[in-house]
Amino acid sequence: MSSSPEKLLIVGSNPRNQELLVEFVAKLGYTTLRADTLEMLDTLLDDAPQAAFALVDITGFGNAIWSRCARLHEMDIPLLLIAPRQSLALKQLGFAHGAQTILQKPVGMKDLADTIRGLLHPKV
Amino acid sequence: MNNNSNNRFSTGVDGLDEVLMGGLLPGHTYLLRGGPGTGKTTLGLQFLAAGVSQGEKALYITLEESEASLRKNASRLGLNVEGVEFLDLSPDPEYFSKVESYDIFSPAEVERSPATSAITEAVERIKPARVFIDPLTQFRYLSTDVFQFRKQVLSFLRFLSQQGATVLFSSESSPSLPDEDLQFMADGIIKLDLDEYGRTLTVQKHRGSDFVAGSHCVRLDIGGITVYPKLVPAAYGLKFSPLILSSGLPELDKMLCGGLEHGTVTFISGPSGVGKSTLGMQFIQQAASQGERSVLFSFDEEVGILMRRCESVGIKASEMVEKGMLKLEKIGPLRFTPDEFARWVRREVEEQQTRVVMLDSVSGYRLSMRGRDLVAQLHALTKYLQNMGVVVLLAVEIAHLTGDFRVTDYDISYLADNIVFLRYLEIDGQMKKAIGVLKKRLSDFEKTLREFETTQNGIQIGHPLVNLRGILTGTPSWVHNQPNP
Repeated sequence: MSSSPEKLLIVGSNPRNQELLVEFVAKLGYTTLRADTLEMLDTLLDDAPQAAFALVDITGFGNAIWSRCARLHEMDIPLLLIAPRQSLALKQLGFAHGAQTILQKPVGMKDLADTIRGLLHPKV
Repeated sequence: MNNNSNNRFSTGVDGLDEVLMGGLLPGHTYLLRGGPGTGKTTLGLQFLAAGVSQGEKALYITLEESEASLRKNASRLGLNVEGVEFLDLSPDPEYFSKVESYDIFSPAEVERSPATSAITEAVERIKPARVFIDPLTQFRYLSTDVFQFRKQVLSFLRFLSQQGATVLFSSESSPSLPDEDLQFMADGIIKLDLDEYGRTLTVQKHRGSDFVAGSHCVRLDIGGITVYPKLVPAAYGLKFSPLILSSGLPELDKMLCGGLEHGTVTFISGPSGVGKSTLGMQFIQQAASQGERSVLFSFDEEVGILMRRCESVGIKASEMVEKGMLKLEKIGPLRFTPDEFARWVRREVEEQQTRVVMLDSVSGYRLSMRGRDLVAQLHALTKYLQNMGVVVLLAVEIAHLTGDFRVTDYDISYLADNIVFLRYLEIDGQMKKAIGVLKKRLSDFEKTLREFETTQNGIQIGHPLVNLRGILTGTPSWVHNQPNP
């Protein structure tokens, strides 16, 4: 296991949400890469980032987010989606594009922490 | 820690320490309940200012009103909060836009942690002896559920107590968000109310101490809150002393078998203009001649007119006032509640050694006081004065000039130890006045009427009117064939 902290990719269109997520993830002991627009995300992905995990808030991106989710999945980056509401259609789309888990807003901090740890260090 | 002699913290509110049997207990937590505008913040400011004035450290944690606004209000009330530390956790103007801009986590989770850290840091840095949290119920919105709120508040209060603080915290309750949970957590509960009859304060709980139960009148004005503790006569009592106050009129003293005993209530009953106030002043003049101070509370008549009337019948009211043997006070309509008035009377008795108190008149008292249960309040006041060994004179006005014999138009005769009555009579086509004694609890008394006259040389009381018949019918008649002795 590498001694350097694991890096998480934080994707979302709302700057305040992004700030809160970055702070939260940092408190859990992870470093972050941050993409607030699809263009920023594309640029990051072109550089083949060493992200252990992607946390994507799909709110505000429209359908264009699904192709990026698929790309993350193709790059073997585990994907946790955050959806704005309870929706079966969104869930189906999310899982179809590689999401491992989908959480609904507002996300409980403990839930999110447990989910991240669970996805990064699954107990066998 | 700078406490008073019985190891209590003064609340800084005049009258409240008395209700709390000396003040707040150090290290305890007190819930301050009340609706909007009842004075919670003012009371909290006074609590902190009292600590600072005694050299203690005091911390105001505000979750609603800004520090600037609180300081301004304190200054308007004349409260010195110079040395009070403020931790301002109220929302700043930018908060509105910030809140709208995030939805990833619930506000409870985002806001709680910074608030908790700021409080912990401030308490550990300042080490306050007194803390006021206004309002603690704001933490409800920083908790994800009721269980979390209860646990967090308990933990928070314990943290403050462990730091050596005495804590006062306010709550804002409503039918949809009651504060019963906080009531169980606090060591004491102080409730403020405001209704059409005025402001009141009630202590609902005081763990480890007794308190004066009931609803106490509150006044909120420049200078802050003042509490007027409800009069509990049983709490006062002097050893019975068989002192008698003479009227200074040998005939009247004869009717009363010496005069009026200290610690008794005397009704001076009669219709308007018959001479009740003058008769009361006669006793007051005699008390002054023996070096005893009196206070007359006039609910009907202006002090100037009363003094002039006294002077015209040879009672030297001005001289008594100048020598400090008499205080005449005019009580305006709806100026006081019974509790406020009772506190004034108490100060006259306990601080000025007043030995005679006259209320002129009972109907004036009823009309002038704000509030409920006025007869019960008058009962408590007269009982207190009795217990303090004061001679109490109550002028009791009868609505009708003649006719049915009545002592009072109100159902208050049970208050009287002594009843002296004055009546108009018609004798041989002339209008006369008569005086009689109807009741005297501690001695015998003369059962006949005598003529009563006020002249420029003073009150004149004649021989017993033994020719009168039918006195108690209210329309006595004169029998001519039995000469007066």
